This record gives sequence, C-alpha cells and structure tokens, in this order.
Amino acid sequence: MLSRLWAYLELNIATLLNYAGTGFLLLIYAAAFSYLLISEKDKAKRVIFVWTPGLILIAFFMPPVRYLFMRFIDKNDTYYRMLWMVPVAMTVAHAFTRICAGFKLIGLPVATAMIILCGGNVYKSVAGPLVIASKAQNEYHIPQEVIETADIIMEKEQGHRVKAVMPLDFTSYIRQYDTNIYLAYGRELIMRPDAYDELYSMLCEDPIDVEKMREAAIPRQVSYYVFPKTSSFLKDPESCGLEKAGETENHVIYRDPEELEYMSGISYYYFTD
Amino acid sequence: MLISALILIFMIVILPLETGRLLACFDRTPGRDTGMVFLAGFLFQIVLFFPVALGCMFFIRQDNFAVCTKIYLILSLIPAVAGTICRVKELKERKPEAPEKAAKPEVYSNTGEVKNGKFRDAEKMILWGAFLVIFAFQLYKAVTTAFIDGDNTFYVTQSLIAQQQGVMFTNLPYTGGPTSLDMRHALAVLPLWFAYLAKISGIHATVLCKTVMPLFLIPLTYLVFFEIAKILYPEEKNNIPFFLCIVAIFEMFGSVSIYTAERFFLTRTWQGKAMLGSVVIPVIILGLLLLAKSYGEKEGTGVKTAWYLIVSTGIFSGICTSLGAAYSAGLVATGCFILAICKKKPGIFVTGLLACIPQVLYMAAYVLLK
Repeated sequence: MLSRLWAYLELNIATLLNYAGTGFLLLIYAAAFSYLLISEKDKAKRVIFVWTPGLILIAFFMPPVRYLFMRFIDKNDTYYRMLWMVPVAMTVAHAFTRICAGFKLIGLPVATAMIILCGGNVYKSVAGPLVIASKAQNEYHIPQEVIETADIIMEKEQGHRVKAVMPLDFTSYIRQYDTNIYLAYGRELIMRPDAYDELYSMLCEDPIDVEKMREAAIPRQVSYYVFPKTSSFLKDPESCGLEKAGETENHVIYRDPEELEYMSGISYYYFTD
Repeated sequence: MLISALILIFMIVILPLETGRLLACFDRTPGRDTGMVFLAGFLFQIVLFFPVALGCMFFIRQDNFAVCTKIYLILSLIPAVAGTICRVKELKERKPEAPEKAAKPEVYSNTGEVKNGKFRDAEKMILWGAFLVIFAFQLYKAVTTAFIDGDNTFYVTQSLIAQQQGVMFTNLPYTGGPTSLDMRHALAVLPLWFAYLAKISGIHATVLCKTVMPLFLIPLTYLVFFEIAKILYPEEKNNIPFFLCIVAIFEMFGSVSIYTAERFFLTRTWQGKAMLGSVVIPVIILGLLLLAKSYGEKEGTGVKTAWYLIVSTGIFSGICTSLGAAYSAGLVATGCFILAICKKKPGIFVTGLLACIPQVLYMAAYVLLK
C-alpha cells in the first residue's frame, strides 16, 4: 500500500517537473505565490491567488487524487491539466503589479526581461526535434503542395469522393483541405509505432513495385497514388496501368482509370454492437 | 469575402452582445460594462448550441448537421432580438439626466505622495500602448504562423467533415468513411460549433479555425483578463494595462514545455483543450473573484452575475473538451470551499456544489457512453 502511494507521489513529482520543462517560470510563480502569501491583505485576492491554488497544488500531489483521476476520469496522461487550474500567469502578473506599483514604467521592462529569460518563446516551440512554428504558406495553414495535390485530384473527379495512397506527411493535412479525399491509411500510423499498413510499407520500398501495390490497393478501393519525385520504380507506373493526373513541386499524382471507384461517403448514425 | 466576414461578425459579436443585453435586463447590477455583457451573451449562445447539437446527433439519422444548423440559427436569434427590444425599452425609460461627475480619487504612490495627474496620463498611454503592441503582435503571428499539431488532423477535420459532408462525428477524420458515433468525443461539440459558423458564413472550416477564430478567441481571452483586472484594481486604473502586459508577455513566453496552457493558447487557439486553459478557467476565476468581492455586500452587486458565469462556463467546459467538465467542477468546488471558510458562509460551498451539477451529469454521460 505504502509503495503504491509512493509510486503515485513520484509520478506526480515527475508530472510537475515535465510541466516545468526547460525554463524557470515555475520558480517565478513560486516566488510570486510566496510574496502574495505574506503581503496580500485583501481577502478576496487571497482566496484567488493564495488559498485556492494552494489547495489545488496540495490535492495535485496527493497520491489518492491521482489514483482516483486515473481510475475514473482518464487513464491517459492528462493529469498535468490539473495544473491549469492554478492561475500561474495571473498570480505572477498580480505580484509584479503590486511590487511595481510606484514605478510601473521601470518595472514593466524589468518584469518582461525576467519572464523572457526564464520562459520559452512560444513561436520557437519545439516538439522533440521538430520546430512547430513556421510561416504560413496559405490561409489554411497547411503545406501549399498538399493543396495543389488535392486540387489536381478534385479537378479530375469533380467533387466525387475517391481514395488515395500518399506519403505519411500528406495524410495529416489533406483532409483538412478536402474531406472528399479518403485515405488508405492516416495519422494512426504516426501515432502508434506498432501500426502497420501494407500499402504504406510498399510506398516506402525502394524501388516501388507498382504492380504489386495496385493489386493490394484494388480491394481497398484506392484510385489515386501520390509518389515522391525521388521514388524509383521496378516498372514505370504508366506501363502498369496508371495514368498521370498531374504533378507538384516534389510529387507526381497518378490515377487508376480502370479501378476508379467513388466512395459513397454517406454516414448514418448507428451504435456499435 | 466581405459578406462572409460581416456574417461572421454578426454571429460571434452582435448576437452575443444583444443576448447579453437580455441577460442584463434580468440583473441590473450597476456599473456592468459592455465587456461583461458580451461575455455573458457569448456563453449563453454557445451553451445553447450544446443541446441542439446533441439532440440532432443522437436522434436524427440523415442530414443531421443541416437540421442542427437551421434549429440553432433560429434559437440563437431569439434571445438576441429579445435583448435588443429590452435594451431599446430601457433606453426609452431612462430619464435624460446629466450624470454627476464623481470626484477623481487621489492616488498615492508607495511613498505616500499624491501622483501627478499628467504623469499618470502619460503612464496610462504608454502602458496601454505597450499592451496593444503585444496584443497586435500576437494577432499578427496567429494569422501568419502555421503550427504543426497532429490534433488538428482530428479536430479541424471534424469541423470540415460537418461542413462538407453534413454529418456529425460519424465520419473517420483520419481516413474518411463511415463509422459509429464517436462517443468519446461526441459530447465535446466545439468542432461542430465552428462547423456551424463556417457553414453560415461560407468560410472554409479550416480557414475559420486556424486563421479567423484566433482573431476572436485571443481578444476574448484578454477581455476576461481585463474584467479580472478591473475587479482587482478598481482605484488605480493604470494597474490594469500593467497587469495585462505581464499576462500577455507570460502567454508568449510560457512555452517551457509541451504541457503549459500558454503554449496551447497561442499555438492551438481553436482547440477545445486550449480554450479550457485560456477561456474557461479564467472565466471561472473571474466568477470566483466576483463572488469573493460581492458576498456580504448588498444584493445585486455581482452575486447573480458571478453564479451565472460559473454555471454557464461549467457547461461550456464540457463543450470544449470531454474532461473539461471535471477540471472546471474541481476548480469551482475548491474555490467555493475556500470562500465558504473565509466568509464563514457554508451556503457558498453548497451553492458551488449545486453549480457543478451540469458537470456531474456531463461526466456521468461521458462515462456511460464511453
């Protein structure tokens, strides 16, 4: 029993440390909290900035709270969102407002410098090796090449729903532009490292066996293939029965005129058994 | 494009504002400003969407999104029209008296000296100017920066599916094709609300979510912080822009990990979980602050508004994200518990628990449907 409690406590501390991340903003928060604990006399403000967040933080660290959260609310790792109930930004802002009351014009750049030095620039955020922010190429905020690919397909099909095979990085975006384009596989291949799709693995081969791919694709009603221009093929796609529909800067789009199938797309609401 | 923009402004600004005026007719707390009226009306409008969307999702088989759009459009107009009528009546009834100008309170610096009026005006202009620069920069970056986030493949696509295919959570967002109703996400109908706005305005749902809605949601967040600051600093008005500047800087430099609410706010503004941290929780804190300030004073000085904000935001939290109801209920219960002890009024805690009934029902439905 004690070891389980200890394990949950360790998990809670790890969650807090992950939340604190690479900066020192939580240290600024801790300093602001301590300052308000000592100096804030207004009862209403103490309720909001001291007592309520204090009780939330105590509850956050309590192992039974974590156990109940995981048992009844969410097994996935969203426990850190309990920390969103603590008004970190407002507490820091209120503390600085009190401290700099008599010299705001000097206090503002000083406070700003402290937050910038201790924080992380949201516009330079990273997720692993990836920088998540980039200049938007269009108003959809998706790669322009994805839009061009979708437009090429839809120009041919005039709004009919078709299914396509395409590189994984396209699959995250193309249905954010046009939901008439169905996919043989999608983002689940990115989310689950153990996921496997036959057509995707064929797309990743070098050279690509287009005939074999087409055979595997027919029962799955695939009518379009998007290949990177850098792909090499055992046989030319056009000699395997595919027809070139168009190309973008880095990809070539092929259409299968013999196996062209339109998806019904009608979804009626039903319960699973 | 201009017509789409005008329609959208009508839907997300005018309708909530007029709806808020209807609510203001029932609670004539003096000194309530346009910001609070708008916030109340916005919450009413979006909470109204919840039962309409759920009803259409569960009980209508074919073209349920089209039906949902029509019903909600009519229902959303009713309170707004009523609010306009109420407001016009109020203005007619009001006697045309010249308002008395209250004496400007003297403001003292930390050293006890009365601060120079001209200096304070200059300070006010500089602080507000600084905040507006940061705010404008955030809006500019929201429109011109694309943020890679895998969850958009789910949430934005759900909105687009509703707009283009006319179905509600019964089409696979990642690959297409029919599926059974996604119970886990069905109660969080925010993507369908975006789809509704997209459908009525004619704007592509993805453009609406990623480019247009941040221009509304970011100001909405700062409106909430502004209302909080007004309650925190009723005397020294220059504290308000200072407070807002610090909050805005914190939002921009709060991305110390992938878990912070600040990172969600500016990189995934349109997602329900981001709105949980940037709108729902601050509004609940606004409600608790209003309660803390109002309890004990004469009736009608903010208690009704506070409870309205708390209850409506509790329902809104479930609309944003399935687990939002749990977090908002936790915050309300904790805040009311502390308030009850500080004010020595156990009734506050009891009322707070009653205010969490919508969230309890939501979580029960979530667990049952899952």
